[in-house]
Amino acid sequence: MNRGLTEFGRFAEPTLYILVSLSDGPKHGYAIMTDVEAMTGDPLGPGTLYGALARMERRGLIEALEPEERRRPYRLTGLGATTLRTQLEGLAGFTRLGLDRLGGATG
Amino acid sequence: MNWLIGLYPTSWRARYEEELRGLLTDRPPSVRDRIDLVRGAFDAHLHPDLVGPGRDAVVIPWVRRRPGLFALVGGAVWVAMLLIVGVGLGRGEEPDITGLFWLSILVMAIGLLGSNSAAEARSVKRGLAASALLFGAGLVLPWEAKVIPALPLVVLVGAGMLWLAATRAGLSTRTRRLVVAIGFLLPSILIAPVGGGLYEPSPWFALAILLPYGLAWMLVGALTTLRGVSGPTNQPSGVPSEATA
Repeated sequence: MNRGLTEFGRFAEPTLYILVSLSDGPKHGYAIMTDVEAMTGDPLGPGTLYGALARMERRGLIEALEPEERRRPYRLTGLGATTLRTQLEGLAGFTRLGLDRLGGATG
Repeated sequence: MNWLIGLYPTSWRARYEEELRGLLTDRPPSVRDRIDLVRGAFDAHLHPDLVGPGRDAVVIPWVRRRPGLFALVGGAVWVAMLLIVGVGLGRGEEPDITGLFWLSILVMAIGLLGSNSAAEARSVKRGLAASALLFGAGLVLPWEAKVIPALPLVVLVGAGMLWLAATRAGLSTRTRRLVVAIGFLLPSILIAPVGGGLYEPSPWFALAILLPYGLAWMLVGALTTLRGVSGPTNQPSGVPSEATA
């Protein structure tokens, strides 16, 4: 599904969610967690969140901003935005293909 | 909660601990979150490069992990010894576990020596000197009298073990004292008269009391192996030193 994020292993899906969460502006860890839970219905565990954030930061998809008290916001980088766009376009194409085939089989 | 974050590598904590603590304050972790944190800590140990070279990498030499391994092995031998006794009791046998008993005490004591921080060095050395004396006494005394040095030796090592477990868990000094008092003194009071022949409890009762000590030693050992004991590291300059547990 997330071909460009395969190197993230089990963190590929959380990474995609976090990219989407940060696409409308910087957020800190707690805000990302609540946003992802609202989007997907599944809570993102703190260990998974920071495992994904560390990988994303390492690969340059996000960058950390100055901390506000104990909260450190993260924002999407240019590479992160490009990666997210590629992933979503890939998913959209896959979705269209699936719906077309389903339509052909049932229609 | 402190001990869960303590499972993460030093370099990882130097980078993310503060904000993770903030997050867990905003959203107290559920059981599922706690399991997720343990999983995340293993992942962080498997991928040290995530906060690695050029950032906050701290390489913990094996010499600093070794005391933890001794504690882990000592605890495992202790647990194995009790399991052998348990299986033997189930079959109506009385297996000879003398060798395993002394081996686990000896290995645990070595782990205790290596797990101390500088601030605890004096008390640990005193404890080890007393342990060595009791151990020597145990070797030379006849079998019937071995229980005399064995009991205080178990008390000494067991109390040290609980103190270490509480220290590694990041508990305050006051709470640590409470842990040692409740977790060690109470069972000791219950089981000490057995050595004096005052009463004979069910062997299963004794096993149930002694088993947690081995498990706690294994936990301390695993944590110490992962984190390394306090001391100088070969970390690059500008990196915060490891927080003493």
